[in-house]
Amino acid sequence: MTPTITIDLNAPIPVYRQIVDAMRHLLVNGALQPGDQVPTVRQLAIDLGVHFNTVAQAYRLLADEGWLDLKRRRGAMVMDRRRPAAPSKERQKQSLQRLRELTAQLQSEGIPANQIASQLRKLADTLVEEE
Amino acid sequence: MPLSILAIMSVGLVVGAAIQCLAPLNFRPGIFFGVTVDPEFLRTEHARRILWRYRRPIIVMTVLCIAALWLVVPRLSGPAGPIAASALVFLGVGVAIVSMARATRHVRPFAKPLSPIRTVSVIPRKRTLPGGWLPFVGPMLMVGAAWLLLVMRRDSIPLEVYPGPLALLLWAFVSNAHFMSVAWLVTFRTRQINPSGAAAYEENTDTRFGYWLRLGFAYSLTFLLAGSALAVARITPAASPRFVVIWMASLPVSAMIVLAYVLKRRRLPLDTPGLAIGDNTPDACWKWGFIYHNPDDPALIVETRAGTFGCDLNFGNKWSWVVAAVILATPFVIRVLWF
Repeated sequence: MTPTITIDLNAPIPVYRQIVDAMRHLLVNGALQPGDQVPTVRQLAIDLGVHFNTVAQAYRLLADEGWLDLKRRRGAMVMDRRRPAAPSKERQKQSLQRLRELTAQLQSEGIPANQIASQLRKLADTLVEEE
Repeated sequence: MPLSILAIMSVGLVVGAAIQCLAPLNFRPGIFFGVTVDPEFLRTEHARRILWRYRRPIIVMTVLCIAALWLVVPRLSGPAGPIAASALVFLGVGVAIVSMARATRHVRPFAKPLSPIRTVSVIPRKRTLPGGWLPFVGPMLMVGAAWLLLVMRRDSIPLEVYPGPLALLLWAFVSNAHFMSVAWLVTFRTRQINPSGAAAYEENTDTRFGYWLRLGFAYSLTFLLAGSALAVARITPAASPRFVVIWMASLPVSAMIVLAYVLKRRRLPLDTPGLAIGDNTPDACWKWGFIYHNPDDPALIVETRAGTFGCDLNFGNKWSWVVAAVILATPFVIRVLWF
């Protein structure tokens, strides 16, 4: 199955953030392995129809997180990222707050609470299985 | 004009008209005469009517051109005959372009907004020329070999004759540069619309076909121009009319190959996984269905809306103006500097 990313140009989330989140999802799930090449900034920008700087910003963020090794003119490569240490309590609190805000956003868009809960349970089960 | 040339031109006009009439079969799913529509729109009565309105002038003009070719052109003497015959071909092409532009206008009321969702593959595309570098530079090698032959035999070529073959080789060089650069841009700079699966495979097949078509034109023109240059320089025996007839016959044969490809090309069902509906270009940026201007699109070359193995320049990208200016200005610059 070819790994793909999907973005919504009309979504309120900035495009570069969508690219980062989608790529991170592939990286965490193992769809992209260490050593894999990803498209160059130019190729991804042209395919998505967005500005080069948007993709470049997304790649820089992923490189800062340790996911990508950026090589000028030769595109980016997925790095062997060591599992990070457990985040601080403050950081955990912030991350969980983001999760709560996301569920609130989904509810405000009309998705029923029980559907959100069911999806979260499925995701949680998948994460535990992968562990 | 010889009857064989008239026959070849007639076949060419018919095959050309067939390609133009069947071209709508080659539109991407969700694109109809350069406008983004619901894929189901093609089954409606409106779509059929628009299609007939597009095809009717092409058919009528083709019949008129063939009639004029056989009834009028043979009565013309001197260069008037070939000029008139060429004018009929250009007229046929012009009518098809106008008909396409009119069809675009009729489809606009049924347009659907372009989807803001973009799905792309994160696998880097392989950067290789189909067949490798040798076939790609082949036309230039042929021109280079002919030029070398001219230089080596310079002493045996009359002085007044020498510029003629050089001009023909220069023409071959410039046209090859054009075809090769377009073929390169299409291979390396167009975007992938269908990210994965059978749809991506078909898209890559179309891109390769377009590449080989352009390269074929380059070889064909080089064969004619380099051969003529050597014949004019009296290095090879003077080209007989048969040579010209054979070369001209290759044009409708090429058109038939294109027609066969268009007809045999696999059209995927709309529910094929990974099949993109429409393309990544907004309708508002297209003029007459074939001129694209979008400064927000980073692509220099964009997917054509008149089929699946062509391309168009994005005139919103400043480099496309440079490319267009180079193409248009080159013959004048050469004329001024060289001759």
